[in-house]
Amino acid sequence: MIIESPIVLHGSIAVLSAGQQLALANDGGLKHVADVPIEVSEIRFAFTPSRATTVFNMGLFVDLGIGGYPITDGMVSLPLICPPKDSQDEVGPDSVVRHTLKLDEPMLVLPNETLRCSFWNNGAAVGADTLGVSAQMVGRRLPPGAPRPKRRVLPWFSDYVGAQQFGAVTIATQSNDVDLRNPTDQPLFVDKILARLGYNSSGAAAAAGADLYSNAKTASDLTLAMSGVTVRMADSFGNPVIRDKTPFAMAFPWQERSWRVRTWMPPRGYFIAYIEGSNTSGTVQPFIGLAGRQVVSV
Amino acid sequence: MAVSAETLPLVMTSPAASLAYTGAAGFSGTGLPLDANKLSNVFKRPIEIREIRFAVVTPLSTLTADMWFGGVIQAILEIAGHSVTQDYVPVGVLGSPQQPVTEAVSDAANVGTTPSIANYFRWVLPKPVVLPPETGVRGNIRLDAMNMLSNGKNGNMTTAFTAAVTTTVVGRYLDRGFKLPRTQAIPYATAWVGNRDGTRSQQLNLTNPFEMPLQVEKFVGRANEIVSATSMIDGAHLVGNITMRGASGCDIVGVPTPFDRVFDYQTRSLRVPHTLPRKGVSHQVFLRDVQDNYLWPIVSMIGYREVAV
Repeated sequence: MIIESPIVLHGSIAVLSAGQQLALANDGGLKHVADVPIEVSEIRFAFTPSRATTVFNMGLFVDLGIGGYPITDGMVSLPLICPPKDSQDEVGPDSVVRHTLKLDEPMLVLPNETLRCSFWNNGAAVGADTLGVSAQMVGRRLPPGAPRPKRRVLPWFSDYVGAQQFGAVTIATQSNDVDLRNPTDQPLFVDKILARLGYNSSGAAAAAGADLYSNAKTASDLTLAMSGVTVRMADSFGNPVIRDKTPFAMAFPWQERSWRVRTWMPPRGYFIAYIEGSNTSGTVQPFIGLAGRQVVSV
Repeated sequence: MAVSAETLPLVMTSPAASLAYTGAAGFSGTGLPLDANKLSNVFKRPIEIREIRFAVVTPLSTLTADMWFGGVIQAILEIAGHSVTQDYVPVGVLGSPQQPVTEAVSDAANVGTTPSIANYFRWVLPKPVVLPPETGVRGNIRLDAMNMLSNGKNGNMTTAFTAAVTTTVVGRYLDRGFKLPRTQAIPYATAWVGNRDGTRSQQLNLTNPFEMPLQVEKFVGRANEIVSATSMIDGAHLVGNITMRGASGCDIVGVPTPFDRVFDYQTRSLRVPHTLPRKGVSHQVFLRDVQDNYLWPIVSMIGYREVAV
């Protein structure tokens, strides 16, 4: 009888200071050294501040890759690609920020491959504060003798982080053809369009502020998501995806922070998002992303 | 990849319609039409509708606590010329809330410092509906004050306010060569809004008005509760006991049972797929042991019928 075994690989700690980009020091923790492939279903991240202070969730970015293939389109917003079931759990009572990237299809990791992780603290911790970072891959070992596939499916994430809008301004910003894209020569299956709205009522940089979707507690925040900020979207052929101006939280459902679309994007295809609206106070920053799957050779 | 491919997604939005509540007795707002042009299939290919969403925002500085608009914001809808609702149906009972707590996206502790409260409702249709070119979603939205001024236990809802309602239709494009089906499942929603004077639903409330069988998917049960002059919530947990009699004459709920146990409190629904075979066949809801008259229970029946197209 073949018994499949779960597996958790734990990556070592990196320390991020404000504004810093840093690769996780791979001491072998995220290198799969066994002689059978594993299927990874989740990648988890945790950020521990150097003191009990606020970690500004929307200031966290990540760049991931496996086996020489990128999983993310450079640095992408980590809260964006990890839509939570309950956002209140994102920042725990111990000030530790935890994100879980649940993959729509398990990712095959071959022996001796390493999950490449780089992080960017874009105002997530301010001043002299630093963040300790760790990552885990969670999955299962394939049974000995399992056939080695010729191709495998890897996740793909790209994002558009709009300009920060300060104070009482009219918002008019848009992504371009290098943001929400399929940069490969193969069709990309798109599972979800992801979205969050960074907001900081104090007027400081939104990236260093709370995510409106997670912290929609003041009335003005709600107006912003439900009517103040609107989105339109089209594909690379000009087909309307979101035909007319639609409140941000209406296009991207409030609870899921994502819209499950299950569609194909052609090679070199892209979406263009148009963000419009008005802000009265504080700082607003829209985040939109793609969660898809790419097929690569082994 | 073991996935089924679908074509390009699509969102169509009718801009915010501003509805007003005057705070006057006997008020029932006039319906405003949805923007038919914005909700039309102008793409020269079929599209498919899967979901209808409603967002409600009110800019009112005098509201000091939660507001649940699911009972008083009501919609009358048709898709591709077919009726989807029987008269106006409260938007809060069209679909089950994904997460009831976050449906009302306001937070009582923080509302009031800045004027705005928002609600968000989703109706995932029982089955997707194909919209041929040149057809669309039509309808009206209204704010029905129902019994907000009916000597509620906790006071009347006397505060005048406006509510902006945005309606969004979510679906996807179909291939240009997509062959239209001979029949398709057109959704249908009908509702009974109870009140202190009538403690049972009437024959026309939860009925099949069509010549063909109506496939019932579920009942949704919620309640509009006046909390104070400036707030109202979903008070399904406060309704008290009900019984329900089925169209066949048999009891659906024979023993007086708490409202929030009949309609599962997480989903606010009673999912019991069955068929109402012909026109005029209806279910009835009876309120028992109702605690007071500041609650207005609402029970909807959601389903679909096969229509030749």
